[in-house]
Amino acid sequence: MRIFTFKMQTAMILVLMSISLFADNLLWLDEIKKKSCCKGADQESGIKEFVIKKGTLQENKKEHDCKNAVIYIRDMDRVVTEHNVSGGKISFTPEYKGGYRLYFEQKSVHEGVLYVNLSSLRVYNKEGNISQSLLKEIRGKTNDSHYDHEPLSQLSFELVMEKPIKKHHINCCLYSGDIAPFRVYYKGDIQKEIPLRVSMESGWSNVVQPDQEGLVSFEIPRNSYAETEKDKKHSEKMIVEASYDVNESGVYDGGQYRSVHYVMTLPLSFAPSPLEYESRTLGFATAIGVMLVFSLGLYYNRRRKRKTPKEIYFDEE
Amino acid sequence: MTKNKFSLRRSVNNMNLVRFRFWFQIVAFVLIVYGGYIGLDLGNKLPTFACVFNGEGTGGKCYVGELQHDLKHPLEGFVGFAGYAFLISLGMFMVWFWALNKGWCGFVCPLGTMQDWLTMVREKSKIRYSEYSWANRGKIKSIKYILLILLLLLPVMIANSVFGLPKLPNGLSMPFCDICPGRMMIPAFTGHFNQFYIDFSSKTDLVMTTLGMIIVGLFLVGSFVKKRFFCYFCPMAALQYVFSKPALLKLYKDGAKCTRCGDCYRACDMDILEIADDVTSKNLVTEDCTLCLKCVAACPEEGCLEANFMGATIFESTKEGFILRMAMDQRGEKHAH
Repeated sequence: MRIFTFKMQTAMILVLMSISLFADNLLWLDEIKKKSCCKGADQESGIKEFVIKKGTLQENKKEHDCKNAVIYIRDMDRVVTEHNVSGGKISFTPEYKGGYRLYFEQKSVHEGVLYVNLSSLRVYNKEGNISQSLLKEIRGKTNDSHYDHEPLSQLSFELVMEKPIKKHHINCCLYSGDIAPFRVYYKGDIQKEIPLRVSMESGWSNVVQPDQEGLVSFEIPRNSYAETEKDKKHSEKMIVEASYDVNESGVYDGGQYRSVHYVMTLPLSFAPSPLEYESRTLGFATAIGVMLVFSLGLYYNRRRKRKTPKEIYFDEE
Repeated sequence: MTKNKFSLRRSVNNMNLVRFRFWFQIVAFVLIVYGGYIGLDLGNKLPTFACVFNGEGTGGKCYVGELQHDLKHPLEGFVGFAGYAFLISLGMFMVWFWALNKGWCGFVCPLGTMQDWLTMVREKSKIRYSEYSWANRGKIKSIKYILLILLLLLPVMIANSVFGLPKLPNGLSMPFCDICPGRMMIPAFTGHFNQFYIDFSSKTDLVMTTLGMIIVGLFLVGSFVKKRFFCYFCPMAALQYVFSKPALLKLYKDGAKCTRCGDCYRACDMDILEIADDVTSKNLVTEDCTLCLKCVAACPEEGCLEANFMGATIFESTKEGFILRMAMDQRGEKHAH
C-alpha cells in the first residue's frame, strides 16, 4: 500500500513537472480586436483575424512558424470547415451572425516524440453575409449555446468546457466565483486522470485534479483588485491547459516517433462577479417596500372614500 | 354536413369563453416560459413578453429586447448588415403579430396571464377592484408611447451622437428591459429570483435597476387591485397598435345592431369606452384592446360583435350564447362571459 502511494506521488510530481516544463511553450489562439477607428474595409467585409501566441499570458510572442498547422471552424449548426494557416495569421469570414468555435492543431516530431499542440477559442460574430444568412435571420435562432457538449471528431485529444455553475443572473460569459467544469477526451472517450493547469493574466496559477467521473472543475478566483478599482467590470484572461502522453509509434512528416505528447489550451476571459456590485437584498427590499407603501396608500385611500355611517343619537333624558 | 357545420359554430358561440381563455393562457404560458426545456425555440421576434432573461426555459424571445439590440448600431452600419437585420426582425415581428393581432396580449402574453391570475386571487379573496380616474386616463394612455419613443431613441443615442449631444452610457442599451417587470417575474417561474437586484456598478445601472425594482413592486400590487394594470403602460401594446390595421384577426362591430346597453364595456378589463359608444366604426381594435373577446361573450345582440379571422367569423355574439353564459354565471361558473 505504501509502495503504491509512493508510486502515485512520484507519478503526480512527474505530471506536474511536465506541465510546468511545457508551460512556457504553450500555443494558444488569440483574436485580433481592432479599434473601431481602424476597422476600415475589414469591418465591411466581416473578416475575423486571429494569431497564434506562444508563451504565457504575461510573456508571449506571436508564433509565425505554423508548419503543419490546420484550423477547424465549427459553426452553430455543428458544420465543420478546414482552413490552412499561413504566416501565423488566421483569417476567415463568417457567413452568419452567432457563435463559432475555432480549433487549432499543429503537429511536429522532435527527438522521437510527436508533439500535437491544440488550442480552441469561441468567437461571436455580430454581422453576417445577408444573402447567406437571410433564412437564419428570419428564423432568429436563440439557443446558440456558448459551451460544447461533444468533442470535435477531427481531433484525437480535446479539452471541453461544459456549462458553468453560476450564482448570479448573467447567463453568458464567465465571472469570478463561477464554477467552471471541464472534461478531457481522448479519441472520444473521457479521460478521468488528467489534471488541468489554470493560469491567469494576473499571475495566479494552479493545478486542478479531476473527480471520479473525470470532471475537472474549479471556482474562478477573483481578478485583480487594482484593476477592478478602476473598472468594476474589468475583464481578465486565463488559460486552461491539459496534456497527455501516449505510447504510440509511427512516422509523421518523414520523422519517426515512439510516443505522442498532446497539449491543448483553452484561452478564456472572465470579469468580476456581478455579486460584487449588486445587492439582491436591497432589490427585494425595494420591491417589497414599494408594495407595502402602495398597498397602505390604497388602503387609506379606500378608507377615506368610504361613506361614514349616519350617527344615531339617543335622547338619554 | 350542413347541420354539423352549424353545430360547430353554435357550440363555439355558446362556449364558456373565460374557461377557454384560462386554459389557452396556461398552455401559452407553459410553452413560452418552460418551452426551452423541451427544445422549443420560437425565435427572438415574438410580439409578446417572452423574456430573454429567462435563460434556458424560454421557448422564444420578446421582440422589444431584439429591437433595442438592433438599434444600438452606428448610423452608417444601418446601410449594411445591421440595417438588413433590423428590417428582417421588424418584418418577422409583423408576420407573428398579424397572425393574432392584439390577441397576443389577451391570450399569450405571460405578463398579461400573471395579471389575470392576480385578478383571480383578488376576486377569490373578495377584495374590491380599483379603476383609473377618468380625469387621468388620457395621461396614462400616453405613457406607453413615451416609453416606446424612449426605448427606440436611447439605444440609438448610445451608438451615435444625436443632435450633437454626447453619447449615452452603455448601461442604457436595453432601457425597457431594465424596468420591465417581466425581467424579474418570468424567470421567477423557473425558480430564478436572481433578476431581483440593484446594480451599483455605475450611476446609470443604479438608477435603472432601482426603477426596475420599484416598477415590479407597483406591478404586483397594481395588478392585484386593477385588472390588467400594466397593459395601460405597455410599450409593446403601443408598438403593436402601429401595425394593427392589416392584421388577420379583427374585432368587428355592427353598429346598427348595438343598443348601447353597455354590457361589453362592463366586461372589458381595459375599460374601453369605444366598444359601447362607437356605433360607426367597424374595426374596434383600439390601442388598449387586448382582444380578449370578453366583450363578444358579454354582448346579448345577435351578430353585433364578432371576432373575424381573414374575413371568416370565428366567434360572434348571439342571444343563445348570452343566455347560456348568464345561466353558467347563476350556476356558479363565475364570469362565463
